[in-house]
Amino acid sequence: MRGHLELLVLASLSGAPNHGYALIESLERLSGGAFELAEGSLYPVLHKLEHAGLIRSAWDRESGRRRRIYRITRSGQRELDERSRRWRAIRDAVDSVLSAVADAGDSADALSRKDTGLEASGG
Amino acid sequence: MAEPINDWLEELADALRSERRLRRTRIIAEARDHLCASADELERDGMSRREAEQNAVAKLGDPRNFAGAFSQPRATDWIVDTTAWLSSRVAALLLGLGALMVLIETVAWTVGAGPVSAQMVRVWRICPDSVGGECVGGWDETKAPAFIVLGAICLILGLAALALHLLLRRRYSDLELTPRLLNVVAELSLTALGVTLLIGGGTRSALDASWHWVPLWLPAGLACLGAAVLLEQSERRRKEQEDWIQRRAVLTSR
Repeated sequence: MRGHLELLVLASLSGAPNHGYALIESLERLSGGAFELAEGSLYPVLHKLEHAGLIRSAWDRESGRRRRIYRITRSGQRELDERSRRWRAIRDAVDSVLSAVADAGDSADALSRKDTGLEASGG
Repeated sequence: MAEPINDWLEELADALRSERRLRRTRIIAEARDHLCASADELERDGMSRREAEQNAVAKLGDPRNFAGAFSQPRATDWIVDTTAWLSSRVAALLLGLGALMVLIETVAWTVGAGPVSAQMVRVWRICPDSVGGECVGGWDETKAPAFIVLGAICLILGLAALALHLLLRRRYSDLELTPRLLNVVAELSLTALGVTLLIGGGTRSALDASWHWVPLWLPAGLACLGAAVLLEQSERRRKEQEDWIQRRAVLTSR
């Protein structure tokens, strides 16, 4: 999860600019509650992404409170596209391996059942 | 009586003392905003303010760990800081000196005293006609009073130092768009002045013609620069005041 937080933050900000607290809520909501972020882990990631020029931020006033609003930059959008592509490639590769292993397991089970059946009928 | 959010923020400030002032202020302001938003929500869910604050700080974790998760200052940071500090002083000195030289020359020119420095220096040279890359009939030299050329060089070098300062500071700046735009306008105006003086000035009549632009660029550039500095100062004061008000609001809400 920690390694993918940057990707998730970029993806969330590509939808709309947001401030830190709302970002955490948004990620939890979008993941259907699967991602419960350690709140303290988000801000260092936001600063790191901003330092790399992938997002930018500015103070804004919302409901009488000053908030730092983060937006994705063009290079951030390109980075998001690239990381998404890599993530999908890894996910597909892992899926392929798991499917192949599962299929091999099913075939082995079927063979095993067949052998057992043969032995039973032959015995 | 313990104040969970303020106590947490004080510990955070202590843990961040080796960070740059701008960065430290920003991290603390963001953490305060986060904690207040979190506590407000928990309070809306039915907790007492104190419980809500305690829960909010617990969710954000240990302030020392929180501070430690931000990148530590690098060894090269002091070079950036020192260069940014020095470049702003050099820029102010050169721009002030350049502007003063141009103003003195302008006044001298206006009252008919002529150039302050009688010495003329070549600033541009063109060849009216050339054959096979060789200048035919001699070079047409463009000259200007040395004092103006020196002033223009000071302005251009000062602008370069200012640009360096803005470039170095930009990453850490919390400034809004208006002072940044004013800075850009100031830079452009003063660059136009420097260019006008250096290559616009030719013979005395050409210099005289280009001189009409000086009263426009110089005050415009200096006014924008001054306005940008004043806006930056007032913006910083406003933010400090807002931080203080927010802090007071947290204290009085109990």
